[in-house]
Amino acid sequence: MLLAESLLLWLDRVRGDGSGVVAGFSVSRLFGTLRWVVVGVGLLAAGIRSRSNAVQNLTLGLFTTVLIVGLLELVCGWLLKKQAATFPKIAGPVHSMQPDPYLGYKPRPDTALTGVRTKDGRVIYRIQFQTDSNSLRVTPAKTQIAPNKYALFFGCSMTFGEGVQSNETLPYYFTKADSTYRPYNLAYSGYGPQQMLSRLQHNSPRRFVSEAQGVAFYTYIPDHVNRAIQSLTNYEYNRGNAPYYYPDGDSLRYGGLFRDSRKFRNWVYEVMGRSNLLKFFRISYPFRLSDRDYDLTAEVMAKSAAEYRRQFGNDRFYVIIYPTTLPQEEIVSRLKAKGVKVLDYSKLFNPLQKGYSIPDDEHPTPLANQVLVAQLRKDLQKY
Amino acid sequence: MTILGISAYYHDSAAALLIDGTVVAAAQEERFTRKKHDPGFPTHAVRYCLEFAGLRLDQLDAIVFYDKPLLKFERLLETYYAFSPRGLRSFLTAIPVWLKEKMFLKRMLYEELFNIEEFDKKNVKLLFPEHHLSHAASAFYPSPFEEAAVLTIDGVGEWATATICHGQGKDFKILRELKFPHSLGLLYSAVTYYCGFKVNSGEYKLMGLAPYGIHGSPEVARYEDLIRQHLVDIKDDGSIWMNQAYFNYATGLRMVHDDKWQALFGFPRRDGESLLEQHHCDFALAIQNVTEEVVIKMAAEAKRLTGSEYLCLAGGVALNCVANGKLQNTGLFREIFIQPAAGDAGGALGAALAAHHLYFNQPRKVDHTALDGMKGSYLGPEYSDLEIRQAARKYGAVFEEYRNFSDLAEKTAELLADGNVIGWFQGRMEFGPRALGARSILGDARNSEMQKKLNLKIKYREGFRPFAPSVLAEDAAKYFELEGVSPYMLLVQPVRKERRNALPDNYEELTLMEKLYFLRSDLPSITHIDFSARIQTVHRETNPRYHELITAFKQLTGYGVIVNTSFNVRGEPIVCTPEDAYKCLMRTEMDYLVVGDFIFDKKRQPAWQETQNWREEFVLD
Repeated sequence: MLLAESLLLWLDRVRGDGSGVVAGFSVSRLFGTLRWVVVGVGLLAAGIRSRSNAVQNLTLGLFTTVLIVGLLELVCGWLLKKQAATFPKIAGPVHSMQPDPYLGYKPRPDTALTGVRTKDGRVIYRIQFQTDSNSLRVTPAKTQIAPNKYALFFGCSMTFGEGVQSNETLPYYFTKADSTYRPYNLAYSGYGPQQMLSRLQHNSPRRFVSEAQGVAFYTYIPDHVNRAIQSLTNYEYNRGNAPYYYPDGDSLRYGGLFRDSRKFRNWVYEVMGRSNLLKFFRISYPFRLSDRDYDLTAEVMAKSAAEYRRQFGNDRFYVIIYPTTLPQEEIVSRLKAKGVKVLDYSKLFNPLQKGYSIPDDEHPTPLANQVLVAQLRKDLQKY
Repeated sequence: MTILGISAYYHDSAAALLIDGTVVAAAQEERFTRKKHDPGFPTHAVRYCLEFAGLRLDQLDAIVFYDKPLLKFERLLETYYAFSPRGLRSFLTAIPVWLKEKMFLKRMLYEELFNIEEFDKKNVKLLFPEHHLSHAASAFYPSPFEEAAVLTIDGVGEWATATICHGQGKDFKILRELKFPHSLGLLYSAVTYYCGFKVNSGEYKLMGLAPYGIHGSPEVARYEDLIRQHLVDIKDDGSIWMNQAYFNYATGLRMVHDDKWQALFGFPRRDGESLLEQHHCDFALAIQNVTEEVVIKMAAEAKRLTGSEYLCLAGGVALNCVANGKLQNTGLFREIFIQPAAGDAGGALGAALAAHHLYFNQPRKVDHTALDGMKGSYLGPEYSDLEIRQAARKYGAVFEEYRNFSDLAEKTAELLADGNVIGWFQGRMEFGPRALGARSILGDARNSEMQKKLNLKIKYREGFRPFAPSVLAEDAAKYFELEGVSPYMLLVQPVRKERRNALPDNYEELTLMEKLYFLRSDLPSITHIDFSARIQTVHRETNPRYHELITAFKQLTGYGVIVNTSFNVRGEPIVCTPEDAYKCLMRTEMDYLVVGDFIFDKKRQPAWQETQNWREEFVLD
């Protein structure tokens, strides 16, 4: 087999284009699979021909299991491929990112981007946005007066404004309603609370926020727990490029990036990530979130609030619970217990209702952002 | 499929070449003939398009003219008939020209094309889409939208003066039309004429003059009332009815009845070069306000009829960037695309696009990875290093060559920061009326003397005329209250409040010139009198060299914004060749010229021997 493989590769080099691909098949991959097949068939034959009944039974049992799982993997792979064809597609750089030692990744600074998300040729959204030298999405402002306060917005794509124009984001509507605030959109797609904490600890916005007074918001969605603990699905999204915080007794420790700090877990995720079966049935790991996971997430937010207080000299830091159909008691109670100010908007509207999320995308619409800001403004007056 | 679009015989003749639905080349004839707004057949522009693509005329699938001459003739006859016996003089002047030439446009076009080269006309279709269809196609097809409302507004085509269309994929539906003689473009041109500027070229001067009017003053309100009561009736759907008793354009040789306007507004028509007074400014502001109201109402109607979230604009009125800015601020549409060559030049491109998608039924593919389909509007000719050297040799010019563009950008940025005025000539020339960093004169926007220097020593034009900023797209929101991008300098938005300086208490009592030179922001050269700016956002993808220059300037000064004005003097078309650029350097008080990889220092050039009075070479506009 090795000889045949070498011969084919040699022929490809001498006569073909030297790419190692012959008639559409990768020679190395084909022979790699064949080797496994030969080893498998050999083991199967040896097991069946064994004199021990136990070995025979074990071999057949294993063979049947591998066969069923293999078949299921193939079927799920085929179904996933079919599904993928109907998934929305992104054309153009909706994202243009670069690595960051503390955040894992961030938007490319000083960039103007145009990107479109389409499904079956139909445009779901088309956005144009710019980033500044600090990699923040630029929020245009039609100010009545020059702003003299800051408004920091931490969070994920919901806050960043994925799918909406720069004049339709949460930070935009907030400062449109009160132009004494200058918005700083520190959010980005795929971020969780740990990016907020890491940013505050290692590359604080205090460096470029010129206003003395202001307010900070973190917009929370349920998936942020998966991000804080780096679940399998989250790993699939960022390949471990996110800050890693873990509990150490009563304190919270920073362990660099998940990518560099949890090598064995990452390897397991890589293996699990290849399974079509897990992908098709959307099975993540851990299979369910535990109290420890919620504790860690809440602690990262609480620590961020404390860090903010220390750096900015005020306690106007709020965690906004974004509207959801899922119960939020687990996180809200923990945050309150840790003294974090929570604006629980989980019931403000149903994000699945038409008009509140972008069809085929699920990010907030301009209307959702407007409604949320209206409530936020009301509540801020109370505090 | 290869299609050549042509616009000619009115003003701003142009040619555009389309290959498989993609615009590959486009240019205005004036740039080659050096006659501003040249209305003649675009021989040079056609030649350029063919040479650029390496094509001969008989390799084309179609040649498309941007309007229907017979329909136009029908409009002419019907108008004269309706107004008779008025307009007899105009009738007697116009009809012979029509009977001799324009009626037989097909033959005339063939003759002109045969002058370029012989070709078998059986193999090449000659098509004539309607004028406003050409405009609408020029706006919709290159736009980044799969579906959009399309609004075209200009003086007049055949019958239509404004249309509302709905574009979807490759298809088009005309939903509403406003017909001659009721025309927003002609109303604006009438006021342009009355304020002493040239029709079809002075409209943007009137727009620049409007901010000198006193906002909210009784005078402006009075003019607005008079316009609404006597000149134009504006309906809720944006359609207008113009009282022809006050206008003369339908049948006469002038735009308006001067005596009636004088009686109505209380001042006579201004002579071209006479002093501009406050009432001219107030009148300009009044018509600008009326125009904005109509444009916004038309756009609202387009929204109502199509339900679209996107709008495409074309036609001469779409060059009114102040109105465009106001329209953007209404939030009626999520995004607006304005054809950079919105005037008749763009009709050449639109005609070709309409033929491609509607006549030949070819599919439309939107490139979502690009800003739009106009390639930054850099569609004109470019010149090699060899051609630049040849031009320099002709005049014995002295230059310094930079092999590394980053070094050239840094050097140019330094020169800009030192207060020098620089002619910037790079890559392919712009298609459309705006200089977008390919044929531009540049200066430091922070420099308080720059506006005066540019207007009086370089451009030799009216002192009140504002200058526009080119700003890095990513930095635009730092300086301006701009939501989105403005790559074609077709949106006016205010400078951010925190950058503005407080006005003195006696500001309203200052004279026009005192107001003009008052430092209104930390970017005084580009902050117009009402704190607005006509913004060009510069994008790395479409003009990497210009982007790099401004980035170098930003690294040096902290400001990612410079002054950009067209590379010409008053009355001259924007320069096309390196030779044009060198002449402009030597004839004006420009300090440096940067052409390709070469920098020409004015001080080191041999004495300029002018063979003719160049100031008389160009007719003042």
